[in-house]
Amino acid sequence: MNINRRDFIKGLVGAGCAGLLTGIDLSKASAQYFTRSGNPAAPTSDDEHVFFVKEAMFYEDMGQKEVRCKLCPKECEVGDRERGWCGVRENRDGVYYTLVYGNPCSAYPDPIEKKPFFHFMPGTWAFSIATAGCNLNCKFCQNWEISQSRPEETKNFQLPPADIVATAKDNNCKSIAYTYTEPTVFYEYMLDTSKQARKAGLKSAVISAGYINPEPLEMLCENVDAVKIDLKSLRNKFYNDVCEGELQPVLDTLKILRDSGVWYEIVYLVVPTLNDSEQELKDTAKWVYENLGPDVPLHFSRFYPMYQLRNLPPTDPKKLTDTRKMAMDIGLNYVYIGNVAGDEGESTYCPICGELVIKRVRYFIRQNDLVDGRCKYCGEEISGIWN
Amino acid sequence: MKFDENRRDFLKKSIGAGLSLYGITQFSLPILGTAEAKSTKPSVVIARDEKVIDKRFQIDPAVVRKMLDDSVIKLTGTKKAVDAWRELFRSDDIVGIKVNTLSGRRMSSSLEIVYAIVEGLKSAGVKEKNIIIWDKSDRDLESAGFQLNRKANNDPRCYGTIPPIGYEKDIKMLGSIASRLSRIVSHCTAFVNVPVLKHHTMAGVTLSLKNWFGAINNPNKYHFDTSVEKKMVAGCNYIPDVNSLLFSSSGLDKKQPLIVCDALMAQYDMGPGYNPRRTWIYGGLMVARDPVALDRIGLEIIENKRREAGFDSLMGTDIQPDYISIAADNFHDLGIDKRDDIKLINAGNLEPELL
Repeated sequence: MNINRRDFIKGLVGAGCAGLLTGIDLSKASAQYFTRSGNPAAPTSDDEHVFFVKEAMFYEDMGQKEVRCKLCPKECEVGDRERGWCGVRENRDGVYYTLVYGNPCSAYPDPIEKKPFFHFMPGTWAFSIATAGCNLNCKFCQNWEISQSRPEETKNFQLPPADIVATAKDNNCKSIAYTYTEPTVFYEYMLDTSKQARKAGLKSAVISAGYINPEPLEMLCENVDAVKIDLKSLRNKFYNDVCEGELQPVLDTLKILRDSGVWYEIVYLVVPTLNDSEQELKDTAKWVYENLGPDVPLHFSRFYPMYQLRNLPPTDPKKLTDTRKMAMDIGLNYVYIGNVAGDEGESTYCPICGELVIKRVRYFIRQNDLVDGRCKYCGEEISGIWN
Repeated sequence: MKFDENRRDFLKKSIGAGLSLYGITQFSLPILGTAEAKSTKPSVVIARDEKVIDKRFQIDPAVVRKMLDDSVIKLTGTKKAVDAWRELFRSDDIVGIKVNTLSGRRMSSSLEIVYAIVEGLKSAGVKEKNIIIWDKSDRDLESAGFQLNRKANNDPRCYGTIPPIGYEKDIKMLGSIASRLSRIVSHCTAFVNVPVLKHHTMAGVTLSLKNWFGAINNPNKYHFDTSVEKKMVAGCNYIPDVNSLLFSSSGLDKKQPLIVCDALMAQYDMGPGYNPRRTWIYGGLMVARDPVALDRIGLEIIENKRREAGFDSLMGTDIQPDYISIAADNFHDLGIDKRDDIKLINAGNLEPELL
């Protein structure tokens, strides 16, 4: 099928297609191979599903054709012909490859508020991409059909970084968002795209669980503009039992972001009975305040039954309202409620004069009373990236 | 008969040509219960023959066929092979032959064994089009020498879950497992499990229980337990849970497969990938209905070989395969793992030395 990829995406967006593009196979082109040595990786029939096979960054040779991945804290030791825990990185004869470079399974313009970013270029659109795979396995994942799949299970686009950037510009997007699944697992693709985006005048926003090693994170921070971290809980047991990860690396990520200068926001999904105790929510707000400061936006989001947690009820909205108040009483300036359309907790208020400065309904801006990033009523500077 | 063709050509000529050499189309009665089922001890039948594989790794398919038929006769307590196959399978079964093809031509399920199984199934009246030789992916099958066949013709079908069969849309959950199952699993009414006798760097050994990781969409999630200090799959519930998901009454309740473990050439270290320095010719088949019992005996064979080769035991290491005894616990109830409770039967012309 010889469709120009940019035209395809543009046409689809222009036609008003709703929802994620998760099932369109644009081409059956042969995979292209990129290795550090310049020697091609052995192609396989599975590669019909991927368009690029690129040698991974951040791994070490353990000898005997085994490798240790250094991208995320799991640090998988991977034997020949096996994959890492994420399912998208494969050892072939002792060389570790990413199978998702340039192969997104989802690509679509979204309001930046959907990520959610409330203090980053409000009212703009972000061209949003994801590939198959994740390095966690959260039992409440809303995108599990792609995050818990391997690239051969999803239908993928052939969109190298340059095409992503061009398509984003064609669709009047101001940024590129790496989202839906876990962008850490498509790190090389995200990094190269963000570099090209910056040259083209676009910003990059990463939506992540923050389960990444410091070295790749620091390199990423030099090339992206905003990061949203899903802090799943402040209890390691929750990370163990519900997400199959660990808490401490995520806290470390938040501290690195604090010191990096990159804009960042935090989302905490309040899951009934699992991470919604008053004490844990209070501990979370206090940890953010004491370690990151009062101006980091903290979103408490409503849980809906999904994936492996279909037996739990949705979060009571009153719980979110009470939690928001508690966090603001601790001293946080920007505390939001997510997934409750029309709630006053979706909007931004000046921490000094208390006036409503950005009114949101769901993902859309209804009123913006910021002037050059300041409250138009009292002149207070509101933290964020506004242009 | 010496067999010196390459594997791809072999399958192309034999399975692709209709597999009618030994075929006797007959229909079976419903299963009345096997001899093993009447016994309190599960049986593991070992057939070894010095002529089945030579030093150039050429396999004699006629010897394989005889070893297999002799084994199923011993397993079922019948007198003729055709009766044994009829006792194990119904003529209207859709039989999935789950091979193990991750490790290329040398350390994957042998075509000759699969060929013999197909002939056995045919003798029980199973139609060729209702026999599916399958594994995780087309890629792995082809790399092991299998010829893909998606058509409902007079040949057995042969294809991977991916592409394009795929996995069920919804996840299935049991114990520690939440996975989507291969649609081939859902389609089949009976199975033959054809693992290879080999070591595994994360599971200790990979035999009949571990082979079912090839039936789920996310085996990458279950090779080590991230929540318990990176405990290897060898010590986790993952492998037993996958088996319970498929075969227990609390799971899909599929009929427990016939297991035909390929032990012609085995590997005692650095598996599951093929490593020629760690393989040896065992020249055997292991046949059973009880996956726990077979894995217990298979582990013993690998342990004995490791000892002979001067390697440390797997016991006491972080890949001690505790999952075999976990599979025998009250929750999983997948078989018997106590060595003294397993009946070892010789069906070959060599002593079934566990070495």
